[in-house]
Amino acid sequence: MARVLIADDDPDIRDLVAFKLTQNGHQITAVEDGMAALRAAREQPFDLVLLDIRMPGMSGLDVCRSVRAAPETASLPVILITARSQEGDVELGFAAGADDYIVKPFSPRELSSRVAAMLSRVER
Amino acid sequence: MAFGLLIALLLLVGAGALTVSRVADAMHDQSYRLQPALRENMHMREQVTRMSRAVRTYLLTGDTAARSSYRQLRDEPFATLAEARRVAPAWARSNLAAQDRQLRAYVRLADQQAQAAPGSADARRLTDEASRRFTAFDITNQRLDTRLTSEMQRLEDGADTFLDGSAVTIGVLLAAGGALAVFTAVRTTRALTRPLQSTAATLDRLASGEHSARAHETGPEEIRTVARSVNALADESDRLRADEAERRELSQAARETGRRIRDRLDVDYVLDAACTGMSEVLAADYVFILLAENDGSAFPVARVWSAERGLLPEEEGRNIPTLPADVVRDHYRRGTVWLITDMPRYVSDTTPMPGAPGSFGKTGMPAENRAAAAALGLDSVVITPIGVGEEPIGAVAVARTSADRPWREMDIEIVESMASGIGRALHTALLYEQETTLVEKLRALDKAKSDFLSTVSHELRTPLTSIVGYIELLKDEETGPLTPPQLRMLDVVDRNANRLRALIEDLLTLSRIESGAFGSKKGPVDLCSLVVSATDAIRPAAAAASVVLETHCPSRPLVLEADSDQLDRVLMNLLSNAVKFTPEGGKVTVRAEARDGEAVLSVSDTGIGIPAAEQEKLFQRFFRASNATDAAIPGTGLGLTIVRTIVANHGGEMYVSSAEGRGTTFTARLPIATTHGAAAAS
Repeated sequence: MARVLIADDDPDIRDLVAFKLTQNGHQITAVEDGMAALRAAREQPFDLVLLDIRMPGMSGLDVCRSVRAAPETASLPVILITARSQEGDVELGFAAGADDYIVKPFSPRELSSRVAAMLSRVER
Repeated sequence: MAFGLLIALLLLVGAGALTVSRVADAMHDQSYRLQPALRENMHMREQVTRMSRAVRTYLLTGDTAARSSYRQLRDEPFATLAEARRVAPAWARSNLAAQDRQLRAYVRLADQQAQAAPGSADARRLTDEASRRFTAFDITNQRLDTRLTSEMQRLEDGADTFLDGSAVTIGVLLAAGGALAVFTAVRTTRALTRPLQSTAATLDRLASGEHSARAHETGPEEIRTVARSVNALADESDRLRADEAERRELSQAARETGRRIRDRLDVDYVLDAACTGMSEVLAADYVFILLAENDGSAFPVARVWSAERGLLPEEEGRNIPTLPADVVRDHYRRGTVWLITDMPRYVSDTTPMPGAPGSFGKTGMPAENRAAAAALGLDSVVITPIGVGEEPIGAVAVARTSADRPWREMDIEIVESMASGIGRALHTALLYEQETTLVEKLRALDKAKSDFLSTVSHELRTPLTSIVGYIELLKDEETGPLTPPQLRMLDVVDRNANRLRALIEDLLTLSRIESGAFGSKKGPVDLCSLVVSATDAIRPAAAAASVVLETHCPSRPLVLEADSDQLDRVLMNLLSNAVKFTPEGGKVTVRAEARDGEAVLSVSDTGIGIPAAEQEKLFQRFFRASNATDAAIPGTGLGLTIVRTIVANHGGEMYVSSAEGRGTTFTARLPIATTHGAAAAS
């Protein structure tokens, strides 16, 4: 079981991710914007953060940079969710400190396997 | 003068010679005149001698015949004497008178002898006496003879001497004349040839480029005239050369200004550079540049330069009354340079300006123009409209305020050529400004399009994520078991959601490719390794469809100058199509080879083929072959459009050959990278 934070402004996607990962036995905290995600990441311990890049206010990239900048969250695994498959986005994501990315539209099965892979990598 | 002298001398010599000959003749004449006297004198003596011999013969022999002879002879000497007296010169008269006396004395005695008896004593005495008388006569006669002879000799000698002397004199005179003639000839030659040679040498020096050479105005008047003409020509040529040098200098300066003006494609810069450049080159007191506004309905003053203040602020220029549009346009159409050298004439009242374009020519200048011209003190103005093509884009005016320095023809030519250059530069700068604005607009538009695309891509993908995700959750029965009809229906939703997703992806890809967003990623790509990786990627799908996959690649790399992602896309689209449209047990063959200097990539299948009538529409957007839609084989109708666009972007071409029910071959011909690694692709 892992504690996973998901930030996406689309409630349907939040619910989809939360549902699938809950099914996989994880404990999910879902927030709707970047500020809330950053606050949650500072206040509670998480094993993994899923960040939608395009969110109103603070973007997923900004949150990722802030997470990496703060010492207590610097090593927190981050997966970015992007709607763009252009390399530019991917590069920006890795530059911001993300560990992996997943492109919309993604299948829930792909999501859970990426999450599992990331968690097992961290555990090891 | 020397000639006159020479001719006078020659005349003198001639006259002298004539005179000498006359004088000599006269002298000879005189000598000839003495001869009769001499002859008569001698004759008289012979007569007297013969008479004496006759009388003596009578007295000796008593021959009376001798006495008769004497008597016949005795009067003859007197006749001869009379003749002698007639012909003899005056100085001989006294001698002849003496002879007459002595002859008479003798004849008296001889008469007595003739009376005397021969041989008598009386006869002897008479003979003795007569003999003495005869001797006296003879002596006198002889004296005259001698005198005459010597006189004749003297005269002859005198004439000869005179002749000799004259010959010497004439010879001397002739020699002097000859010398004078030679001297005169030499002097004349010198007087003529020296100035002529000097003038000729001056001409040579002038011709050889020694422009300061001038002829000396010496010698005869005619030659001085020639020299003066030569000098006048040289002066004129100096003036022309100075003009030409000034013209060249001006042209050079004008060219340099022209170059400076063309340095930058900025309208304001061109205007500033044109103003300062023209003022420098032409030593103008004012330079005005008018620029068209509102499609040429007005030509406000865009720039003013004044000798006192340099470039004036733009607002100040705009307040200067400008030329009416009709004047500029008429002037431009005429293609003339408009020179006004007597501006003050037209500023006091409304005088029509003869030859002026537009309304100025008919009604003269409007009051505000006149006021402005008077205020600025303009005296001579050259106005040249500028532009390229049908309509003027403005006008250039240069002005001087001093009546002492009106514009010369040379200046006007320079104005014309500079204005034409300024016109072109302004035209180019204006075009560039328009183009730049357009490019900026297009860039903004392109960015808006990209933003729109990325927004659309995000906004479409997010709901698709929910649709596809929830369908998967449902189909995985994570929320409970489903009935078979529910599952079938979910399959339909799932299939269409995926179709929508593919459509969105293909559309985005196509628009990105068409906008050239991928164009910058070209590099050397080995087509063979791309073929290998693409077939590897498609192999699971082929295996699932029971389709055999064959690849034929040359052992050596086939290097193209290409975007590998795009070429991969081409391969994947063609391969997935081939597998998709090939029934179980069929075969898909991929072949890459170099042929005729090109890379040829072909993907063949043994699939359903494409109806012949539909093949030409195959690469159109959203077109799908009727047998594919009939068989409900999914597709967006964009895959081949993407393929052809990518191939075209690489300078290649796509071909298709197909027979319905037997199979299809798609062929791409692409340029091979040159040794320098540069692609021939456009």
